[in-house]
Amino acid sequence: MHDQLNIEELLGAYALDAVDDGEESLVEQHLAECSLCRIEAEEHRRVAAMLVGESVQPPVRVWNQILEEISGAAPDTDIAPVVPIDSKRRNISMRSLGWVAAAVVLALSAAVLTQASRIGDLNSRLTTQDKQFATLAATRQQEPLQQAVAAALTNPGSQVANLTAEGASGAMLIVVLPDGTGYVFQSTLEPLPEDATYQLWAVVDDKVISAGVLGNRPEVVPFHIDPQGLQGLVITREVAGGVPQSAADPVVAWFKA
Amino acid sequence: MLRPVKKADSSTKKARFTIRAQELSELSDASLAAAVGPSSQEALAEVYRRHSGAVHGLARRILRDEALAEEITQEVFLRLWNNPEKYDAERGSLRSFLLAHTHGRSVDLIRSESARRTREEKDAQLVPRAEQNIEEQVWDMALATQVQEALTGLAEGERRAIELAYFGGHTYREVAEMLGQPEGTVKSRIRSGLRRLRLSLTAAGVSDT
Repeated sequence: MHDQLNIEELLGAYALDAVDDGEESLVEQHLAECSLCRIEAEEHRRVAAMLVGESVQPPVRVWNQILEEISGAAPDTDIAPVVPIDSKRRNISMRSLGWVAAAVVLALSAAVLTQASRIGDLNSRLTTQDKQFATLAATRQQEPLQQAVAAALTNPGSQVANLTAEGASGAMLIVVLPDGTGYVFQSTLEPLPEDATYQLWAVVDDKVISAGVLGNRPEVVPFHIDPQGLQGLVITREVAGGVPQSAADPVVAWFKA
Repeated sequence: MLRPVKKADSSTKKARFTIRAQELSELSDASLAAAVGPSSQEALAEVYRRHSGAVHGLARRILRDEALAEEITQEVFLRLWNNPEKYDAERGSLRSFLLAHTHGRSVDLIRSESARRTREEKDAQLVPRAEQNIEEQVWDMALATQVQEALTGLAEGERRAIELAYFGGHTYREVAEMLGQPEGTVKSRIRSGLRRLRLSLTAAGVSDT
């Protein structure tokens, strides 16, 4: 049998969960009575917590499952769905938006209207799996930027936008953190020649603002926008270096529900 | 005097939520844990934002299985949600509370899993991990230097015993068998190693918060 001295000797192993069940009960009985040993065990645990290996952000599905569990319903911090822009843009004035939104509407509305069922499918496909895949893809690579993306994707306050267009062969995934830091992180848009670039535009408070030049084959590109009034994101193709104002048609776009 | 009344549209709601989120991000862990409850998903979200990386990283390291690690991560935060009163701020940081639970549950799992794994398989998996330096695995780059110094201050036997027990999920008896040392020696080394680490880290001003 263990006497008090032996039990004290077990405190380190106990704090690391390295005792067997019988010993664990003995130690716990003793800790209930001995405050000195209790303090020692707690201190060992704190030390162990400092030695924890590298942080690994869990995939976003873990948080979604937690939310589902505690709210008994599907989480509302999931991906912002792609919606038909004609019906959801009623607060945005075409005139105040300027040409980009107008072009988006012209280019996309008809297709959206005629392909409503397809968009419904897209909505259902644009589930957490997209985020999961993107998170895993980003986590596998060790560059700091990719880690930043992985962290942004698991931030429950982040918005994820899937920029698409009917007839476009590619799409682009963008994550925006609550502080307005955003990342273009997954693009399947076709690479452009050297003398061209993709450019990102944010529709914020009914204004169209350049959010950054993404290069001719964007991978992970950070940018910053005002997250409060964000209504949509649009990608255009421009000459290398980008333009202050664009006359090009949108390549892909996303508007908030 | 008349003041302009702003309509409570969605952007106002968003602004309110942002303010709330900012307030939460400024709360200490202890206040945050107290705020976790049936009506405060945001507080849980903030705890998750702060600590899920460490929790998941530890579970993954012990279990070496992404799916099981996700289960544990989920369970740890749900337990905090369901029983926030189990965390006592007087007895340590929220981080070490969550990590202790993570560790305990991961070890439970690995031990139950081990019943259907062969011992050889486990040992084969253990070898490369035992060779890893825990100095390289410190949880926060900002603390790397102090933790590294503290670890190098340990005797090799202490360090290996702690590593095999903590990260390998082995009991001290199993560690003794692996290292070919008496159980009593391993038990003492774990305790003395942890004490020494604590002293070095305290002297270096490192805390677990």
